[in-house]
Amino acid sequence: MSFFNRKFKFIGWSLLCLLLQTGTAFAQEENYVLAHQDVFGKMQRPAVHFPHAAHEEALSDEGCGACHHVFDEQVKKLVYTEGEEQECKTCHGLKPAGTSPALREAYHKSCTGCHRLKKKNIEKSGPTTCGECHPKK
Amino acid sequence: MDLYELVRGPLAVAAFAVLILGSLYRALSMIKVGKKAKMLYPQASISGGLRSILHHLLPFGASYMRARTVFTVITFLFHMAVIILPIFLMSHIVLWFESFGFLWWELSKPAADTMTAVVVIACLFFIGRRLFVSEVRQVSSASEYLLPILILIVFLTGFCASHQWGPYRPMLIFHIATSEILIALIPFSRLMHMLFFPFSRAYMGAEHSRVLGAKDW
Ligand code: HEC
Ligand code: HEC
Ligand code: HEC
Ligand code: HEC
Repeated sequence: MSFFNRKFKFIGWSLLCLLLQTGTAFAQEENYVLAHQDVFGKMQRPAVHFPHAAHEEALSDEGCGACHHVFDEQVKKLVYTEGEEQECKTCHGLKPAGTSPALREAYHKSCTGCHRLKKKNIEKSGPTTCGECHPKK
Repeated sequence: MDLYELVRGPLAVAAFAVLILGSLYRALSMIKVGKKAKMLYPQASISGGLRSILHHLLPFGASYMRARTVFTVITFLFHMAVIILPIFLMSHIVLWFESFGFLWWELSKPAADTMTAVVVIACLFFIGRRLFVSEVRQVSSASEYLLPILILIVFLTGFCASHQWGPYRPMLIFHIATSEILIALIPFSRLMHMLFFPFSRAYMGAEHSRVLGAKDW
């Protein structure tokens, strides 16, 4: 019995490790350098540095749904579902699709939109000019 | 409020408001003056008026243009660039989208850079012409030197901001602020020919074709 127990324990731990490992493959990075050549082709502007961890902290009240969403077919609305955070480009492409904006506009509406709103409300905020988000070098 | 948000938001709205209300005011006062002035009107000639407008829009369409090849080429390219560039520049379209949520066709980067070069060279040419050609200098007022200088500044600072040359934020803010001054100046300066040129041309065209039986181009 104890032999089986140990064996099961071993298998259990291995499975857990495997899960954790695949888990980390989907987890967010601390910082992103956004330059999606696969979507945009030749980039017109320098890459954007996006500190993910700093945003999680600064937006802890609003939560992950301030940026991440999936489209709920039932209620025909964008909703946030925990664990369903994907790259924006999985749904937003080079061209807009119906009411869903193209990737560039999805980013700008989300990023610049929030930063401008927070500036207006005199809260802590991020950059709102092209060159501060797309800094050369 | 941060300075960028100030020029980006409220001051931009103010500049366009001055442009629209100022143009309306100029147009209405022109109509009023026209109604009461003791002035000889040519008999209306729609075809003569339209032909004059067309001839003066086309490069080498009028005799004064045919007499000045370099001037005509430069002015024509300048007007194309100075109108098309601000409307179809990618960065401006990103800003329109930020404000209003819609987009339109945009220029490629090489096309935008070429047009900027055209405007800069043309402005230098215009300023030089006013300074060095005596028949032009004699009819030039201060504001006519100022306008090409202002346009030159707007386009140079825009180019530098877009390529991130020099101190970025001050450059960008200066570019936007000077553009707004330029936009607000349109109704109150020689730039009003944007709106008035079809009327003065139509008048001249009609007068020449009906009254004098001649072409004015
Ligand atoms: C708050 C940050 C932010 C601001 C401000 C911002 N952008 Fe972006 N921009 C982004 C992000 C993020 C992307 C997506 C980059 C990617 O995924 O490759 C992007 C993408 C782009 C792209 C498409 C990718 C490319 O390089 O061809 C262009 C063009 C662009 N931005 C131009 C501008 C212009 C012009 C402005 C100013 C009017 C501006 N951006 C302001 C964050 C910003
Ligand atoms: C300020 C906006 C913002 C907030 C808030 C935010 N994220 Fe993200 N997240 C992003 C962006 C942008 C990416 C990069 C997506 C890309 O590469 O297109 C990303 C990437 C991710 C990824 C990786 C997706 C993948 O498939 O590579 C995960 C997982 C993730 N975020 C989870 C979270 C969680 C959990 C939270 C809340 C604690 C959160 N995010 C809060 C903007 C945000
Ligand atoms: C699972 C697919 C999916 C992913 C992943 C996704 N989106 Fe969307 N997004 C959509 C759809 C669908 C719409 C259109 C919704 C509608 O029609 O009302 C949309 C709309 C938007 C809009 C416009 C609506 C609004 O809220 O103003 C923005 C901005 C946006 N997405 C930004 C992002 C960003 C930024 C990311 C990455 C962090 C992202 N999206 C990831 C599917 C997705
Ligand atoms: C829902 C609001 C929100 C969204 C969406 C958002 N940000 Fe921010 N951003 C913030 C706030 C708040 C700060 C200030 C954080 C701080 O100072 O701790 C910030 C700060 C920043 C900074 C400056 C960080 C620093 O170290 O100074 C950058 C760069 C930035 N954001 C880029 C982006 C990009 C790129 C996106 C889009 C992918 C984005 N942000 C989307 C709210 C947002």
